[in-house]
Amino acid sequence: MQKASERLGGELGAARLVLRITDITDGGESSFDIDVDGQQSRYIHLHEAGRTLRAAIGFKDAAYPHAVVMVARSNVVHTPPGRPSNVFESTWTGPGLWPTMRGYRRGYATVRKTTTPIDLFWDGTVSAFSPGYGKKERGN
Amino acid sequence: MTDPIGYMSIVLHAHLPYIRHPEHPTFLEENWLFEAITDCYIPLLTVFKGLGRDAVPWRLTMSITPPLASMLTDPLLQERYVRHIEGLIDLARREVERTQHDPAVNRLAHMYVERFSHARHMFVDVYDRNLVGAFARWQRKGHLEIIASAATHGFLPLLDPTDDWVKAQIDIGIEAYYRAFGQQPAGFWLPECGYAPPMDELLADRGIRYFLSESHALLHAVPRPVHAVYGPIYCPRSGVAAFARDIESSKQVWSATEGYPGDFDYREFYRDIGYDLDYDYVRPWLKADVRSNIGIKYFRITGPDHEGHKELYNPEQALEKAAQHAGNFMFNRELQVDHLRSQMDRPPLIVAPYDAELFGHWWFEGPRWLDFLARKIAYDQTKIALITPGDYLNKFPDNQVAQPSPSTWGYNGYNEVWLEGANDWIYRHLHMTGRRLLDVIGRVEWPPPVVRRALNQAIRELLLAQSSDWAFIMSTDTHVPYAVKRTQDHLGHCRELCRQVVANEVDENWLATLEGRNNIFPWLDYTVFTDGEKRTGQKAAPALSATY
Repeated sequence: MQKASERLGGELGAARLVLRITDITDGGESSFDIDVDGQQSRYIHLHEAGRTLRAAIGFKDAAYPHAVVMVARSNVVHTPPGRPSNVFESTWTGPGLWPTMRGYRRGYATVRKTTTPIDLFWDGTVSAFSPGYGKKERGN
Repeated sequence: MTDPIGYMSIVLHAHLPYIRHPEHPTFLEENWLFEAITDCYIPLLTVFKGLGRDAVPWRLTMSITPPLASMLTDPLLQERYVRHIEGLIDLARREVERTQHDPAVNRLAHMYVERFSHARHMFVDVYDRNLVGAFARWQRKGHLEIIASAATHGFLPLLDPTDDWVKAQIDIGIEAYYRAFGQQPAGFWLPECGYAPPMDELLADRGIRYFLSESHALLHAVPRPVHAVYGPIYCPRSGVAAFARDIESSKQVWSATEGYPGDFDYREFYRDIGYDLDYDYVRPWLKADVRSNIGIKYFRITGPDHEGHKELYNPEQALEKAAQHAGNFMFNRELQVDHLRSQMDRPPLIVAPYDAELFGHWWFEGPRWLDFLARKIAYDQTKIALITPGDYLNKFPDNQVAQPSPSTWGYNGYNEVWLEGANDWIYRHLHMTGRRLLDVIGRVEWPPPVVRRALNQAIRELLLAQSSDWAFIMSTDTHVPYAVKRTQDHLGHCRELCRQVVANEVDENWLATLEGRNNIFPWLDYTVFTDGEKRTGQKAAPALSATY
């Protein structure tokens, strides 16, 4: 707050408190701001799955609309992938794999296998577990 | 029996929020427990007894959460249940008299006299009021695998940004399990199937081998699981196994439109004499003089419209339908494993978790459906067998390693039931009060007994505020003021206790009142959050056993 006060000086009172959400997925960096004043909800609707994000709270001066004087920054969070993975290489572990062991984890052997996932309507889950589907009840 | 080509795990999640109000002679929301005992828990135990008597081979998995186990073993609530069921027997007898000139309804009134008398007999004479002990016996006999759950069914993904209270919910939940069932649990029911890393690591620290999750926890896991949801995966950092719900079998039971419970021959839940009969007549059986369900219902669903014309319930017809539905369910699982087995190097596992209270309470015929299903699987086919997730892991311990996706079994599959406009306000209070309490605990050195008691009660109050039920109820249209009050009251109690501890002015009378009222986990000790030896001078950490 002290730094923000020094940077903005007399403008601090007129500056808007904003939450800047920065998408840093795959090394990129794009952001959008949410005005904190007047917000009724305490959560943010995100429209894309599988993102890596960081939030910062700070002041935005009307004279420099693209700059935010940061007060605090969050840890990095990852949103759920929202779709089946495109990674197919599989690692298996368990006591039965001792004869073919390549290494140890928790007393088990680990082997890599090349296997094809079972035949399933995999992408059906994308619509089933995304907004606008289903009923509002537990276990549905 | 020849080796099956597939397995099925039916998992019943039994949970109710901790509701106990000794400060009132009767309390409307205490009925949730009483209705569940009459409609669900005793009918399920009766089914188990019948299967045991007939030597049917069956395996089932159940979670009985700590709040439910605490209520079921609470003498005050046990006494109130006996009073409640005796009141219902009295009402059902009056109904027999009232309907004596209407034979079709009269035979249903007789059915309720028998049903309620049976419930009382089982509760008092057979189980000596201890239903937890009754379920534990089926575990000891090798038919039931009872798994642990979080202390007060806290919604773990949103509970605490630093995971201290997530760990506390898990640790205290497992300690409560150990005290109720006398053994180490193999599995853990994550409340609302809410999974996010690093919960699996916290479970591994407590010796848990597996947890259950929603379908997309596995379907969206990385890398893509070879067996989809038809076999477990091991979490990479913990080695704990994650099982996931099969969408197809769940839908056949859960779906409000296509599911079995909506069949027109089944009993209509929404037509209850608490609403249908003259107010003055039913008033003595209503709590707080408010019209509500009493438990005597004379109609069948009849058609798609709840408000429309309803025909009288026909128990024989409904039972026949339950048998048909059990056969249909089994047939579909046989088709499913036929299809899956050809693609897998082992028999597939179909995991079918349900709220236990669906069986008997919402779906009156549910326990009998389960009874028919267990018998049909045992004798009418050879392709599938019932198994528990723990047994499946023993049989097939080599599994793929993959990171499950964060997920829940709520609307849309993530957190939005428990974080929305009606309930988002609770989290900042839960988080800040949790921080405050840990800070106070960290500052206390060599506390006198009354301060220890105050800290223990503060933990109980916060745990009770953390129950996922309050946020869930706030997101619906009924009982919202009660859920808001419970959240505010417990948080207020916790904060006031913290203040009193810091100010060194613990009000012992008020503390005793709270201890008497919110008496969950009487064995709880605040040293669960400290290095007990240094703080108390005692050797053993009294709250949590080190090994099980």
